Amino acid sequence: MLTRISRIRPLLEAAREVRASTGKSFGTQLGEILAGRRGPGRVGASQYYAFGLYDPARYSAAERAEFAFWDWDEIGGRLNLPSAAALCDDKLVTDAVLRGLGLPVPEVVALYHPAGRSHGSVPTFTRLDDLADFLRRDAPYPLFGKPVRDRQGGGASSLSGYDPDGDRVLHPHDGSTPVATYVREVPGRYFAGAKDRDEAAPAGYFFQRRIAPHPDLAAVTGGRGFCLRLVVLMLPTGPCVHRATLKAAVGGNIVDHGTVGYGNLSSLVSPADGRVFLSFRVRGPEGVSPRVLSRFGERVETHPDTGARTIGLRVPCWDEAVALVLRAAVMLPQVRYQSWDLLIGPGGPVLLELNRRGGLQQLPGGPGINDAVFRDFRASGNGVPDGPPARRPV
Amino acid sequence: MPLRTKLAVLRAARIVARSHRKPVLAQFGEIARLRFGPGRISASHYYKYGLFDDRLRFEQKADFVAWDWDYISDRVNHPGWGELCDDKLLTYAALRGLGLPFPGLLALYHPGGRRWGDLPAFASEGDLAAFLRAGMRYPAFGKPSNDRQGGGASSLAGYEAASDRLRLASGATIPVEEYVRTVPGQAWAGVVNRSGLMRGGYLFQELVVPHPDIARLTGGRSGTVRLVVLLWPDGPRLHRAVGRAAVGDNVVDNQGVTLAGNLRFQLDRETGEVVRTNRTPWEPLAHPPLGSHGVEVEVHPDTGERTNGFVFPCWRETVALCLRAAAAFPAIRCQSWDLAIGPGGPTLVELNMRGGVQQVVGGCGFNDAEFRAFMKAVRPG
Repeated sequence: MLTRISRIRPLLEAAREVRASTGKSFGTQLGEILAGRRGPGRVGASQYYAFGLYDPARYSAAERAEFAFWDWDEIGGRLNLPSAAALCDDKLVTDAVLRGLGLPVPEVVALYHPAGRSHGSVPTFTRLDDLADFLRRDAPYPLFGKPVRDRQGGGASSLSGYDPDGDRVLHPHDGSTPVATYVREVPGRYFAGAKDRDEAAPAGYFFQRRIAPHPDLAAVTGGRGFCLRLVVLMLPTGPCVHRATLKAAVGGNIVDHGTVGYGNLSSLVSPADGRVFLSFRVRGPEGVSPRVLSRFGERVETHPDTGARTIGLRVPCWDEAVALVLRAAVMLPQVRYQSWDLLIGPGGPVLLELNRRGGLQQLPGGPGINDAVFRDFRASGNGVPDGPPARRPV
Repeated sequence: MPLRTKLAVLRAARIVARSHRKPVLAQFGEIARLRFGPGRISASHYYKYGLFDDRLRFEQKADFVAWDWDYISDRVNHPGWGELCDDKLLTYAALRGLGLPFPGLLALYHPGGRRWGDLPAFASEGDLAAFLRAGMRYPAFGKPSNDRQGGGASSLAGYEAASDRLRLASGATIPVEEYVRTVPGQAWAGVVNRSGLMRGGYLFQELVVPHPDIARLTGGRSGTVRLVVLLWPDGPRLHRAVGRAAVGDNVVDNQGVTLAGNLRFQLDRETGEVVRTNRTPWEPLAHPPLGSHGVEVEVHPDTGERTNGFVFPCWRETVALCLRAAAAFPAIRCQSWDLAIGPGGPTLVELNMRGGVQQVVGGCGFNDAEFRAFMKAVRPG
């Protein structure tokens, strides 16, 4: 009972604030919440307030109904071929396939895998000591390291160089770690994943060359990491970019993920012209706010470290980035709901990741995922089977 | 068991009782023991694999299995890696990205607009036909990107402009339009495609000319090897090696087509030498299930070349290439690779996740002590 009251109290406070700011009665708010809850998006009261769906100046009833609170697998699991999961989940498979298709990807320079997984001609190490020697002598810094199979930046590391005097690897933002400690605590600990660990079948830990950001983006982020997320729907008529989000790291973060806990910046980009029209800073390590109306973070207009304005920024190389993902999309028809992460360097866009459960890309004040285009897409059932294949005899 | 099968089994038992002087009751006792063993050998399989033959000890017979194709894969392979094997265009993309050799791709037909790198891709039958007339490099081998056992495969030797016909490897000719409609067109329409997963399209690739030694054995027909690799905790090891050779006008050398009559070789995995040859049925069997999985022969029926004792060329390179490739697919612990061996050495043709159990009649069963130890190592408890 106490738990229930503690859950309801913040909602009542939010309802009072909303009534004061918009004049919307409790009854009207309740009616809208129930309509959202029963609708296809299954949006609850918390999301109603956290996404600002009560705001009549921003959302009509139809626009409110386009918001969804679906599990990641609601889309990825239903629309994409489960037997093609490795294409997205195993980053070395993604790398091999994209490279094989002639698409631009960051160079993989080393792999640590105790059971001897190989990846073309990439140097592979089964012992941490050998990996440490590589980092001392041969590594082409700067590097970015991550588990081959994980999500949301789990286990990632960024190495700027090696200091032979102290036998330490250097990190961005002035930090350093003894090489032996680094290999033990990072690749040695995370080769089976960090957030999604699979110790029975570890996929390995790999290093890529770090790509310098395009000068226009470096000016906004102060040289910190960023990536462009483009969500592609494989419609029967061909692929289209449905949503675009620019994610930028803040402070000392080495990853740019827009999930609560990182404190990073997520900006919605118009697929029509590549310009940022909404920026949102998610909450940091303090977690979700007890105040429901700002549960996930707050809208901003500038990067918190540099003060550079993000609203109105046109993503550099936008047309090339869109052309690249549309070219890549038609080569991988197994994944109908494709969430691509791209880096934009001085030389143009590079494909970093393909996600099959890429989330919904909804931010307070922005559009919901389940618009007319998406509803048509879900209804189209383009090419994905309804059930498992028949079993075959010997 | 349907009545027809029961009657066929009884008939087979009587024939074996006469030919091998083995009483029907003794056969049925053995079948019962094998049926409840790990191999789940049925009465039909007992006769198909010739397990009544007492030149095999009972322990050797118990190594044979009648497992469904998915049986092993479901236990040791990650299902999310299936499409990497089932969709050949995806397999080839990965192999290319890993710098591993495979027969070069020449064109793709996919009405849904799928592309593969810079490969010429056609969404209409008319455009494909135009390419076959003016742009294709012959000889070419065509197959659905998603299929199995040679379903929908075609082998094109060239184009005859005067008659606007394609010349097939068999020497027959076919009008271009008819070929496009009845082969890639039907594959797309699902008439041939049997995988049931998705429509990957129809691809054309370079025909691998067999190594001269293989060409001599097969008369220039296809002759590939199937290597089953097990990914042990300490790395990949070759478990089984089986060779195959096409017979007559067959464009593929596997056993998928009814009455294909192709040859299947049990190979010594250390040397690549053929130690046993089976020929799969080439005419309706007189007494099925006897002979359903083939009968022992010693020569290629078209060339008369002796098969037993033949050593597949470039054997060390072939096994090394396969093991190198296998290490890049760690979530597929039981991998069945098809390789073609040309004058320049081996090339990877296919990776199968559900590659069957590769048991040759009179040879050894799949579930031997080594395989059992592997299963224990990768699935403790």
